Amino acid sequence: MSRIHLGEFEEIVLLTVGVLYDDAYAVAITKEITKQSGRSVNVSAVHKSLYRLEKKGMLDSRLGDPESKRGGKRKRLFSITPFGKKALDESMELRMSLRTQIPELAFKWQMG
Amino acid sequence: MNKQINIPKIPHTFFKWYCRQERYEELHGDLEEFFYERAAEKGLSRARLYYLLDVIRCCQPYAWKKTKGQTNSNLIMFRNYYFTATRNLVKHKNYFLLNISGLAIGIASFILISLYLVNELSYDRFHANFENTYRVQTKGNINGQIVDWATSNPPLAKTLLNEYPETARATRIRRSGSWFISREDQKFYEDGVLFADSTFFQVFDFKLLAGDPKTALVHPRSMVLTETYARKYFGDEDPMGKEIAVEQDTIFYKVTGIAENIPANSHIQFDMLGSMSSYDEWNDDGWVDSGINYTYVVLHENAVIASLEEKIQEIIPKYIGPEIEYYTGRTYAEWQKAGNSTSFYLMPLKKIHLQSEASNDLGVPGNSSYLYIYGLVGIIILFIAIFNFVNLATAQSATRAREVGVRKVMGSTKTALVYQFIFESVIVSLIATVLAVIIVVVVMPSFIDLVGKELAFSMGSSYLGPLLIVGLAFMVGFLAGCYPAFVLSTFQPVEVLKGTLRPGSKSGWMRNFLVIIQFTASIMIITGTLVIYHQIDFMLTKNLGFDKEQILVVRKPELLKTHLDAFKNDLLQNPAIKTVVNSKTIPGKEYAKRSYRKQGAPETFLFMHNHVNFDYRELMGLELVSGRFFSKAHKQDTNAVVINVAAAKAFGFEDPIGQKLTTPWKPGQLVEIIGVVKDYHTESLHKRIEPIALELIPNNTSGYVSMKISNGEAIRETIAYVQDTWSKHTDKPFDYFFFDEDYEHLYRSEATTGQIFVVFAILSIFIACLGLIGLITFTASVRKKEIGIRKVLGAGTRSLIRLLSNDIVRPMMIATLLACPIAFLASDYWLQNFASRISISPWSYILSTCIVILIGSIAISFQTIKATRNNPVDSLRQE
Repeated sequence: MSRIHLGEFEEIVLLTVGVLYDDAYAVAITKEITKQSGRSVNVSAVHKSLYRLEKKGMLDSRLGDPESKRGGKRKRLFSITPFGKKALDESMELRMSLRTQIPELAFKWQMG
Repeated sequence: MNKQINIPKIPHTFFKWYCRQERYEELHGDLEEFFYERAAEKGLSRARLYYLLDVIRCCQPYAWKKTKGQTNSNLIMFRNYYFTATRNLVKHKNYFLLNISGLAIGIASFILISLYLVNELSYDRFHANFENTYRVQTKGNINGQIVDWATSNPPLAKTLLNEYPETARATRIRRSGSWFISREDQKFYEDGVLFADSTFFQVFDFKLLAGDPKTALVHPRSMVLTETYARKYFGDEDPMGKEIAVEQDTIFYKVTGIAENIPANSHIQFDMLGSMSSYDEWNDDGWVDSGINYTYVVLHENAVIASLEEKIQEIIPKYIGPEIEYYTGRTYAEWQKAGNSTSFYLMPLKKIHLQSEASNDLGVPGNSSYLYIYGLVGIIILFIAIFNFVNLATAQSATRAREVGVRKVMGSTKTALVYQFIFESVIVSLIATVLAVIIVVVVMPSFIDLVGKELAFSMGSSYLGPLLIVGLAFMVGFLAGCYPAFVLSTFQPVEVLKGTLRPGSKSGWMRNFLVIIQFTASIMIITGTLVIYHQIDFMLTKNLGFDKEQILVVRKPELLKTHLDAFKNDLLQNPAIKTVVNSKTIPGKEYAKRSYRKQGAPETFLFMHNHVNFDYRELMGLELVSGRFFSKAHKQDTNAVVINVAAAKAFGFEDPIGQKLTTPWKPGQLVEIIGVVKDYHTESLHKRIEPIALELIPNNTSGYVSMKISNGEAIRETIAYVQDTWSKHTDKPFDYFFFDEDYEHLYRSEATTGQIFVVFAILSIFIACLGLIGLITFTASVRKKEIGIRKVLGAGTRSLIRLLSNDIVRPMMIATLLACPIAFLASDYWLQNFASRISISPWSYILSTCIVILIGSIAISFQTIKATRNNPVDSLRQE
């Protein structure tokens, strides 16, 4: 077992960065998470996770072009690094393996 | 909307301050993107609020500037301060609760009063052109009467637009009493009906949810409804293009627009707005017009107001002069020579609510002198709460003295200690502010009831609101903390650690001083409350010259048409109903004016005019001075007039009875004065008694039917009887009120002020008493040992109580001496608003002083008695 730790929200952010592929920056990620999960997400929470993931080396980033809808400011576009993919895969694997280990009996609730 | 979508400045500056340079662009870009999007979707004010929240949420380590070593140690010290503060607060729970509740109430009162003031000051500023919009008002001297009207002549708007290039746009609004509106089975009298020119929505920025603002009021019989009224008459249907009946089911108006509900801070309030073009007589070129017509103009930005004001006076000789000649029979020059004058002046839209003193205004005008009073009361209450904090903190200083000593020995500087204690009080004030905000939210509905009007703002309606409240918390914390911080930080470590410092001994004079100020302020507020109540009571019970008790008034008897007499006769069948009279108007309602002239004399007099029936004198209890009242026995009474003493004086008659008058309303006929009644008030006591002329009512004039009903428990049945009788004669709705209740409405703003004062007077004394309780509890605990020894040596309870309360009773005495002259001057200033006023009796002061001392003594008595009854063994065994 590797020691890569990924928080629940971090994992969602990492996944969403992958989903948005070419246009993964904070605002778009915030909206995408809100749309897909239905939970209300604040942009500062997303910022926090993005920078932390970058620090851990799971994300890479570059600056995009200035846009008028952002008051002429550039945005930081994120992309997944190979290490990020590894972290995601490991996390998924762990979950799947744990899930398959649950005995069927645990899901048989006695009615009444 | 003219406003530009800009990033709010203050939060932006804050963001720039904390955000590290290299991340500013990307982070703020994100926030800006959200801001512009929300501004487009949810409106600017919501977007600003969310932006502020975002800025606060983003204030996290990832965005901060990289800290250098120095600031880090500061941060650690602050953490230490924070822990010391919270531990200390928890340790002295009782004082903390006293402090917090006092501060929270004080801050909540301050926020509520501020919201009210902001509402009053923001009137009519939501129109894009409010800076250049003016109302043309009329001022003059007509037959010895100074007049100041918010209204002006109907053709003025057109003339200004055509002949004065400074005028960019103009519109007229007309008020015309209440209207009977119906649609299917929804039938109501509506008071909120106004009529306006088609240019209305170009001058004012009331938003239309449906309909075209340019064309909504063009066609005759068009009607714009507000959202609420659209729902009232049409439910869930779409009202656009549908018809609604106005007056007697004979005229149908088409709904051409739905307006957003009118903001509370607009002096123009309407529920329904009809097109001015509906009635031809409102649009002819007659300048002299008895209706209530307002003219609003938008001027070009470079227009010079003073010179325009001067120029428009030409209109008077040019257009109004000839009509004056027609009505008075004198040329304009002659009319002017007799001392008459009239002129127009421009009243800026933004000042109408608070500064226009003109009569006949559209909305209920505000009163700027009350605003000062409210503002003052708010600040006073806040400071009473702050002083509590200062007093308790300095009194408690001894408990912190050792800490200060140790900190100083360990190398803390004086400045660092000042920071520490201010930081502590800011923490307390922040907690108090959070509580205050909760209080404000909870009591808001009752506060709206109290002030009697909706407020256009709440704490969160602008991003500035939360920001200002946080600012307020810091300010209060700073003000409350700086004096105690100063006292505490000057302790000498040697003195403190040796234990020679007597607890609370320092700054005793300051505490006394603050207690004096607190009680002076409380006594002033209570005296003010008493004076206001006396004046209101005086106005309601003063002999007005007429009788207003037990009179039931029915509106709109003209709906009965020919059944009016039958209705009146039927009413008299009931033994509970004594006199039934119809009249054009009654005291407290609007009076028309008519001009009279002595036969053969040149000067005209303008009198308040009323049409009345035979028994009017009996019903109102008017006293005859000479002559007689109208009587069925005299056939010529249709050409007779009864005047009051003031009118007789105006004419200068020695013996008015039998004098002949002429009036333009009865051309070619002479009117004879048959009686003179004693003066009586027709308006509120703010105003002087005016000359009045009464004439006999012609058949079927609109107005009121008033009836005297006998005193008794059967009032409900009597009303039911009147209503039944009414519905026997007509199917129109029945509408009644009691005369005395209606008259009391004239004093609404005084009554409101009185109620507001009562509430805040109670709060101020309550907060001051909280402080007292804190102080006395503390004194008792500090002198516990002293009390024990005194008791052992034989001191009685009474002498101990005297000992303990001495420190507090003395400042209270001084406060009463100080408060009296200040309160006298303040209430005298307020009473100058009234033409008839009370003289201030010394009892008001004595009473309020007694109240304060009594409440203060009760507050401290529990603690003192508790302290003196302690068993001395317990207090002396301590060590």
